[in-house]
Amino acid sequence: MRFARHKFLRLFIPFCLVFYLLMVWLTPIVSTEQDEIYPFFSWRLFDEIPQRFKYADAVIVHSIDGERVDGVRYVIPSHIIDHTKSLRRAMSVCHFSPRLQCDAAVRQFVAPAVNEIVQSEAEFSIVRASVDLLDLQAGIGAMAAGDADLYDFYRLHRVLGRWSTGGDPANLYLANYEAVYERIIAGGYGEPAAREPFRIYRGSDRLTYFKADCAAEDTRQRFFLHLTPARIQDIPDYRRQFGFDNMDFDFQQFGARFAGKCLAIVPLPGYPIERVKTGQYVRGEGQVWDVEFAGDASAEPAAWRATAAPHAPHTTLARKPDAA
Amino acid sequence: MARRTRGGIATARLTRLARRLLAYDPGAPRSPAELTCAAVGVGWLARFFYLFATYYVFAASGFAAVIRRPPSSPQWPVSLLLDVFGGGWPEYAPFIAMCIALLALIAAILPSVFALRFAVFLGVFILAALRNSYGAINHEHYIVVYTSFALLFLPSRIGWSGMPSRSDALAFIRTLWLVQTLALLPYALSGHWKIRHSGLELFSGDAMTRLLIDRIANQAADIPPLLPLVVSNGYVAQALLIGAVYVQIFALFALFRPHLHRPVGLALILFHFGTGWLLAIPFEAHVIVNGLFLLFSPLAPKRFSAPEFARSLPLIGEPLRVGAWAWASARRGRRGKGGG
Repeated sequence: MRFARHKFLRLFIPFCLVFYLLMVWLTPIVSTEQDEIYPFFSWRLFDEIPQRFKYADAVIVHSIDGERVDGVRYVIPSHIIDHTKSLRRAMSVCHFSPRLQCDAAVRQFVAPAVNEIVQSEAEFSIVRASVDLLDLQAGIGAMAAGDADLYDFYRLHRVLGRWSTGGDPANLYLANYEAVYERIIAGGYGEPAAREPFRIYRGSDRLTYFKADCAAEDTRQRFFLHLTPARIQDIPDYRRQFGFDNMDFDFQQFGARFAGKCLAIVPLPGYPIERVKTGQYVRGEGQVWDVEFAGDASAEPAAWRATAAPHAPHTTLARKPDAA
Repeated sequence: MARRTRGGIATARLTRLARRLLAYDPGAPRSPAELTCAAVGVGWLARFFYLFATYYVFAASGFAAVIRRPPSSPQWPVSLLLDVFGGGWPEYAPFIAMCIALLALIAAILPSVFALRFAVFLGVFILAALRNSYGAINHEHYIVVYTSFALLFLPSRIGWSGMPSRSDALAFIRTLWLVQTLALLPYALSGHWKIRHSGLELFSGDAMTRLLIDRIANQAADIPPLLPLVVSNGYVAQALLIGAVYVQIFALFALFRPHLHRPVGLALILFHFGTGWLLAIPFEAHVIVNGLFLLFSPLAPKRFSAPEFARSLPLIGEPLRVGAWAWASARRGRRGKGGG
C-alpha cells in the first residue's frame, strides 16, 4: 500500500508539471473571455519590451451628479490596480468587438470602478492617449517629488465613447443616434462635407457617417480616417513623418445599422484639424472609395480637449487608497 | 515481485535521463539518517507554512469584509458556489475566512490530519478565487494555493518528536519536491515567455528602463522608492534584468542541484524585493514560500561551498566541470608518466 503511494507520488510530480502546462496551452483555446482558467496561469508577466511610444487608456469624468466638472479630470489609471486592470480588460473588448459588447464590458468593469472612486452618478469618457516613454523617463524625478503627474505626459489621441454610471450606461455618443437620424432626415444637421457613398457631417468634436440605403456589405470593410492637423506638433512624434494622424476604425466600433440605414458617430481628437481624408479599404487590396475635405480648424475645443497640448494643467480625482 | 508496466519503464527511463542531464549532486548519496533528518525538516517547514497561511487568510478576511459586493467577473469556483448557494454567500466571506484561518492554525499544530490540510487547501483555493473575481487578478495568491495543494501529499505521521520510517521519509522528500516544483515553475514559465517574446531585445541597453517606465505609464501614481535611481542608471537596470531572466529561465534546475537551493531561494527573494521597490509588485507570499522551501531547504548542503555552487550553475557550471575533469585527467596522466 505504502509502496503504491510512493510510486503514485513519484509519477505525480511530472504529471502535475505536464497537466499545468497543458492547461496553460489549452486556456486560449477553451476560454475566449478570460486570460486563464483558475488557478492555471501562463505567467506571462513583463514578457515584451515596450516600444518608446505607447498608448494608454484613461477615463475622464465630465459631470458628477449632473454638475459639469471644470477642466479635465482623470480617474483611471489610478493608484488602485484593480481599476487599472478593469479598464484594460474593458478596452481589450472595445478595441476588437462590436459596440454592444463594448458597452457591456464598460458596464461590467469600468462603471463600477468609476462609481467606487467618484461615489456619485457620473458621466465619463474613455479616452486613449499616446505617451512617449522618454518624456516619462525625463520626468520621473518630478513625478517622484510630486511636482508632476502621469497625466501631464498624456497626449489625447482619441475618444472611445461616453457613458454614464447611472441607469443603463450605454454609449451616450450612440444612445441618441435616432435623434441624430431624425435631424439628418429633416435637414437640420447641417450641410454634409461629402455625399457619396456615405454622407459625412463634420462636427466640432465628431464626424457623422450616414447612408440611407445601406446593406450589410457597405459596413463590412474597415474605414480609414486620416486627419491632417493644423499644427504638426499636435500629433504624436512617430506620426509626424506621415503628416497625418491615423484614426482607422471598424463600423461596429462607432456605428449602428437600423431599418436599412447606417449611422456612425466617430469622436475626433482634441486638436484643430486642417484636412480630413476618409473612406473604406480592403486590407492588402487598396481603397474602395475615398473623399477628402477641409477640417474644422477653428472649432471651439470641447472640455476634454484641454490635454491635447502636452503638459496642460488639469485636476485629478484619482484618490490614494486609505492608509487603513 | 511487482511487474513493471511499459508506462512505468518509460517514466523511469525519462526520469533517469532528466537526472543525467539536469542533476548535479557531487556529495555522497544521503544516508538514511540524513534522509530522516531532512524529512523532519520538511515537517517543520509545513508547520511554518500553515502558520503563514493563518496570517494570510486572516489578512484576506479584511479584504472580504471590505468588498461585500457580488463578484463582477467570477472565477469558475465562485460561479459554481454562486449557482449552488445563491448570490448571498460572499456576504459571509469574512466569517468563512476567519474559520479557515482557525483551521490553518490548527493545521500548523496538527499537520498530520489530512482533513485539516484539505480544508485549508479548499479554503485558500476559494478565497483566492473570490479575491480574483472583481475584474483584476492578483497572481500572488496562487503560490499559497499551489503550496497548500502540494502539502496534501504529506504522510499522515508527523509527530512533534520521533523519527519517520524510511518510506515516510521518502514521502516527505517527494512532497518537498512537489512544493519546490510548483514554486519554481512560475519563474521558469515567466523566463520562457520573456525569451520567446522579447528575444534579443532583452539585451538592448535600455530594455529594463523601458519596462520600468512602461509600468509607470500603465498605472502609476506612487513612484516606487528605488525607481528614479535605477532608471537614471541604465546599466544597473539592465544588469538586474539579465540576472533576473537567468535565474528565471534556469529556476527548475535547482530541483536537481541541491547546491542551488539556498542561492536560488535567496535570489528569488531579492528578485521580489526588486519587483516591490521598482515595480510596486511585492509578491510577499512568494518571499515566504521561497524562503521556507528553498532558502531553508532541508536538502541543501549544510555548508555553502563556492566551487560547488559555481559548478552547479547552469551554463556556467558545465564548462567549469568539463575544465575540472580535463585538469584532473591531465594530472592523473602526468602522475602515471612520472610513476614510470
